[in-house]
Amino acid sequence: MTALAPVGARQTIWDRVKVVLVPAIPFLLILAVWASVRTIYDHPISVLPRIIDVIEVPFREERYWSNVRASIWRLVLGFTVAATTGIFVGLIAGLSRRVAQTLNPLVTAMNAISGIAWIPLAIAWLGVGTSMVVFIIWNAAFFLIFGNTMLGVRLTPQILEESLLTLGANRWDVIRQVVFPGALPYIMSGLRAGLGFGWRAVIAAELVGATSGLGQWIFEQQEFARADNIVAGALTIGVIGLLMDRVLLAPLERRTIERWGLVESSA
Amino acid sequence: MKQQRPWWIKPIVGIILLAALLLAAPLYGRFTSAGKIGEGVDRTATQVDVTVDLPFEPENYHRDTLSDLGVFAGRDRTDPTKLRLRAVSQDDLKKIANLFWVEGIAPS
Amino acid sequence: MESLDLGRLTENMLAQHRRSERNEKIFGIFRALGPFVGLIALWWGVHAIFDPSPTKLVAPDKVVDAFFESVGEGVLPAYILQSLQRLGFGVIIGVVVGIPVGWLLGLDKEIAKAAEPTLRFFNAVSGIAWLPLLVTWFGFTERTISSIIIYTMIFPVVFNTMVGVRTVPPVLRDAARSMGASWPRIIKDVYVPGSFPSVMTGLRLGIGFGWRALIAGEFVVGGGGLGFFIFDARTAGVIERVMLGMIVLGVLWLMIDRLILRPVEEYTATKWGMVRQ
Repeated sequence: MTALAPVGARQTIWDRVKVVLVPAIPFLLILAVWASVRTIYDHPISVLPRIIDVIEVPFREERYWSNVRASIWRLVLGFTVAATTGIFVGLIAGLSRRVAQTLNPLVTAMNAISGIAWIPLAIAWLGVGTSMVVFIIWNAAFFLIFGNTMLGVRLTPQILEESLLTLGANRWDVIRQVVFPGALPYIMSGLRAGLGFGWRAVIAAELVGATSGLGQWIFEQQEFARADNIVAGALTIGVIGLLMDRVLLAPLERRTIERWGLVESSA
Repeated sequence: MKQQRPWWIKPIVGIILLAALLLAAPLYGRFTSAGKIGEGVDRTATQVDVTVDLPFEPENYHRDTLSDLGVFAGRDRTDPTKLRLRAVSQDDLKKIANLFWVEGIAPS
Repeated sequence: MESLDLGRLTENMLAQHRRSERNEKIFGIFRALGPFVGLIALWWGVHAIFDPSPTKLVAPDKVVDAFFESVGEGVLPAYILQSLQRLGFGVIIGVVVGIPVGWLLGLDKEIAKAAEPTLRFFNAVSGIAWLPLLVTWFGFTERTISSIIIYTMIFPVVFNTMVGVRTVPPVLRDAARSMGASWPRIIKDVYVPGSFPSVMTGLRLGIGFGWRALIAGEFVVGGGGLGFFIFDARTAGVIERVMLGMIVLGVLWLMIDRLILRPVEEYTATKWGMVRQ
């Protein structure tokens, strides 16, 4: 039988500490293994860098920061366009059942051709550089957001629309007050997925065809065999991805959806 | 009453399609491999030098694949659709014949 | 007065119903293909109007030609085989390693909670970001590509398996215990089946991520495969092969995902799924 805390017991300091400490254990284990392998073998920096080497990278390399900025800027650009176009077109397309039914296979097909596969074609069309990366981000995020928005609109109960119309509202009011809030859970999940895929697409696109940016930087560092920079770059990519999801979108999702009382968000 | 299809129909169809996709080329190659090895080719020697004839001009893929089966000895001087290989073992000879895009193998 | 032949009547009704169902299905296929026909028409139109250079855009019929050429010359089938082999190998490792690890992690609540953030973090660092490091270690070889696929695939599998075990309602375990079942029995009859739906979801997500990582890996490392086919064609300026490769990619993924992965996942959900909050 698991021990149960007595009802009404206060959260002790130990409990609070545990919440932070326990999840950190696997990370600490990894660090411990890393450190012990290094003390035994002392690899050169090209194979296994020291932990301190990796931590130093943001402070040591100024190219690190300029590349992080470049990548994030491209993501912001591409994602903003994808979100606005995706939601707008998705709302309009979703309003008609015929249009939604016709477009669905196309959305499925586009999602099946992963964003990464578009990179060579995008290079052929736009050359190497920022516009190609932004296009790839847009491509990766747009179809997800568009598809989800369309789905959300189609799933909003027709009767809400119709009852508002009988009360004398015009089409625009209906969209604003019923369709958009109704589709919001789907739009939000589309946005979250789109941001995740978009960020991954940035890295892949830069890896293959850019002259700046985090993805390109870590690939360039491979030529110099600077594993410390590569590891730092890879970890940064993960941290930024997680931060964007947790700090930007999850709270936004909570605030918009719970405010409209539509759906309980998951932790 | 709408009849339900059993759940395993789609997966089985999918697996069959995939298997067909993967096995079509090797099977077809093996099926048509008879008679590709020309008469002049020595079937007893441990290693032979051959000229492989293709119905088209070879690309990187063909050169790479054949290089795994023998030492690549360059193109034929007269015919751009032929490639020469040296030191091909008897096993590899059969493997070359099993490639469906190979038209013929002749001594070189 | 004609007597009412109920038998004949029902027969006719059923026949009519079946016919209309079949017509619906035929219409459905046309409706599904319609947008693609429209897309191809648009493509042809754009090409005809703008007449772009052949290194940028190529008419649809060229892509069809490229299909027959690359299949007839054995290039495309061989590359598809290579990519699927790599994926298959990754799937085997992912299943053999990922699912047991996920089960073990999921059996204990505290361990699962402890492992979760780490798993999420490494999931966020996509395999593609580790590509340069793997190239530094293993070079432009097969091992690099396999490592990327396995890495990208394993986290969704482990995570979802863990979740699957954890979300088996405790009431089932208690019921089994109250009937005197031993722990191995409980694991076999309650936890294993109960986690199946989640495991399948994890597999589906993992294979999706792995497939994308495979293509990216083949872009960078090469050595055959569909990704290499596309990348190499772009370098050579043969756009019809680039577009052909992309289409083949999409079709292959649709086959794997819609024909195999999703139906199996749905089946496990209906057979062993629990009502979730």
